[in-house]
Amino acid sequence: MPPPRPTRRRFLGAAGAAAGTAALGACGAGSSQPGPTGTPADSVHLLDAALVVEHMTIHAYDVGLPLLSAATAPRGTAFRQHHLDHRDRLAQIIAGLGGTPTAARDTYDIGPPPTDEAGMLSLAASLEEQATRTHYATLRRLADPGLVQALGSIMADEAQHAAVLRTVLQQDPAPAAFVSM
Amino acid sequence: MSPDRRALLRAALLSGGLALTGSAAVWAEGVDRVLAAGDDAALLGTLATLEDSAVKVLGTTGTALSRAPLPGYAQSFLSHHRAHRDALLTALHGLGAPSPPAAPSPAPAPAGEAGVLAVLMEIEDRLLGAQYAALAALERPSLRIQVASILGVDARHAAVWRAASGLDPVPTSFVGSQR
Repeated sequence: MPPPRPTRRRFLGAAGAAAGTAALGACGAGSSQPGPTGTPADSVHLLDAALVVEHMTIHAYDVGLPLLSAATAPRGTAFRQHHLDHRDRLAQIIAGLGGTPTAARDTYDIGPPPTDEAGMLSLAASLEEQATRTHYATLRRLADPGLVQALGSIMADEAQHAAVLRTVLQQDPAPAAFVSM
Repeated sequence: MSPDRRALLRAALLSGGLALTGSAAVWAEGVDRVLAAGDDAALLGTLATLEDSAVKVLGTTGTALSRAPLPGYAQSFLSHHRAHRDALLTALHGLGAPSPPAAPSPAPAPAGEAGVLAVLMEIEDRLLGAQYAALAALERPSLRIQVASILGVDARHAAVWRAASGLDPVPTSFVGSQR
């Protein structure tokens, strides 16, 4: 039987499950979720889930960049490049841990494809928010401080993307005091 | 943290090979403050003091912003920094350590919106440098997670202030890379 078709919900769900998603307090202290896992195989599994999130987000930008106007296209192009950099960094780390990075698929189900600029900006903002939360959920499970730092750096970059996109959409760029899942 | 580990971390964190000027210099100052801390308690105290500095600066300079929607952002971000400081102090007390000294009173607010925004960017850059360094320097996993949760929000603040200043809001692919 062929593998199930990747979808946004499934991948984000898988990434969250890999990261041990659980209800948490606002800033994460005192959680009862599983603690960090320290083997390289565990780290590979977790980081590969983060890599898939990057693949999906890059795909969304590929789909939606043509819809952006001259005012927003430079930001979208830059953010896509950042995600390419994240993808490459994660793949490098995974390979360094002895794993095989999951390759990008030709397509991902990102929901109804955007048809105009507003739709693309909304989709991108949503994906960036979810990427932030997923990476945060993942780093909670990583035991190696260096890996936590590397993924934290990526997570914070996604959060900045989300803030910028939310500003364009006239939404609160930083609606909460802490990242949560 | 041992002196050897501190030196290794600093070298890794500041390995851009570029002269550190402007925001990068401020960022490096944040890194240095964290790496000068001896243990998790000292490190948390350093981070809490930096958040307290942000509270005080925003409390005194935020009111100088008048262009919508910046005043609203300043109020919101002020509340975030208060929450960060208080969460860090709670964690610190959980380690049995006393509160660190309060941050000194900030310098008088510069005249003009551009000057205020420059100060706010500096505050956030220093925090980001410190928090990024802390992710690798903290011994306790639960504290790393807590700091990561704060880093993701302070990074948003930095992007907003940069955009308001007419700068690229997200100039690098990795927060903390400073390259």
